[in-house]
Amino acid sequence: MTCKETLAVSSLYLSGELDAEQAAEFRAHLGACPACAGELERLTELDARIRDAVLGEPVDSAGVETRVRQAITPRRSWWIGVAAAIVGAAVLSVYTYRAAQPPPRECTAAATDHHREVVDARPRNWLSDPAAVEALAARQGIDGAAVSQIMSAGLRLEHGKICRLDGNLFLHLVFWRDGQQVSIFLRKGAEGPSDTRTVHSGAEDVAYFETSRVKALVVADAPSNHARAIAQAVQKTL
Amino acid sequence: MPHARSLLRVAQRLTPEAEDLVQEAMLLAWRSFHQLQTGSNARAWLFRIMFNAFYARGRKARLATVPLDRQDVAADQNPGTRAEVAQALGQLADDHRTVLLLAVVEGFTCQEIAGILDVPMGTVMSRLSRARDAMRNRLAPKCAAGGAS
Repeated sequence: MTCKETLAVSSLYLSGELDAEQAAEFRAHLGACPACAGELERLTELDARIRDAVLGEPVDSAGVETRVRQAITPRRSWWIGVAAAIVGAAVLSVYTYRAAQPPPRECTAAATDHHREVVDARPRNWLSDPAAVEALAARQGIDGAAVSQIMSAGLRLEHGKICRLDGNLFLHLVFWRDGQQVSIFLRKGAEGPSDTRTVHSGAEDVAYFETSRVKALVVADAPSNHARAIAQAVQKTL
Repeated sequence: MPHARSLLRVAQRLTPEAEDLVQEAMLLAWRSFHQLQTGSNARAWLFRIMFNAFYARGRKARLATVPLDRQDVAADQNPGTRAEVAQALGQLADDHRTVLLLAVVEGFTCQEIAGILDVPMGTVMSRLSRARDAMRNRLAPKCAAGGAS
């Protein structure tokens, strides 16, 4: 690979789009050519500088999100509003009670990770291909079929990657359901089957359970209380 | 709401009507959600919808640069750096800035960007390369130009 060819594909190298053979050839050239190695280092520094500057600026999407929610939510009669307020107050009291209970640290970490990686959409190297995600699961000792079994519960797989929660490696899967993103964190089961329990952390609910094969933590927006329902649906498939 | 912040972050550098554009894109996505294939890249799909909506508006409202909130700059540990980058980004051609943001900030691959913008992959790579060169020249000497052969 010449210097000209190397620089021509540097964007593809930085975005991880070169195949294994091309990437090896690219790295071999860098090892032998200080000029190209320096050029790639400067490109990487430039990208980091741009990324830090743009991601460092606050972006407030609350107004847009509110308007979109209003546009897709059917109008209600006044008595439905009153009933909703009563139910809301009851739910709030349950959340308040739950908030007083310290959640397991893995759940808190899962909620934080979901908020940072999914809600804030920090750019990461996610895998979108279901077959690649299943292979990733298998490398973590999780039955690869678990991913497709979860999808059979009506969830669309968006992408997945490996993350660390409270010191343990988990497969972080992001699914779509009813227009919302849901995170499911999986690792090989260790303690045996358990019922689904739910805790509240920040703006999210975390529902967690264990089967004979996997431990699963399901994270979704708290107001919808989707996490528990999804966890129970997923638990039936696993 | 999924990806609203990412969409708005990019839209703010496309048009002063960024919030309207993102709202339109998300409502379009909501209505055509059933068309999203399992395993497809939902984030890229949302961005594609937003750019289609943007192009449908005829790019009637261009935005050269996004002013930084002075308070945010003051709170930044490197206010000069962030302001310089914002200014340099604002001076890029729209097409170059868009590709740079999608690749470097939002982490899309060149292939995904080609799909989002409906342009050939070679065009994406060419715009990305020119955008990086322009940014480097404008941000010099902190990111000095390279001398590779």
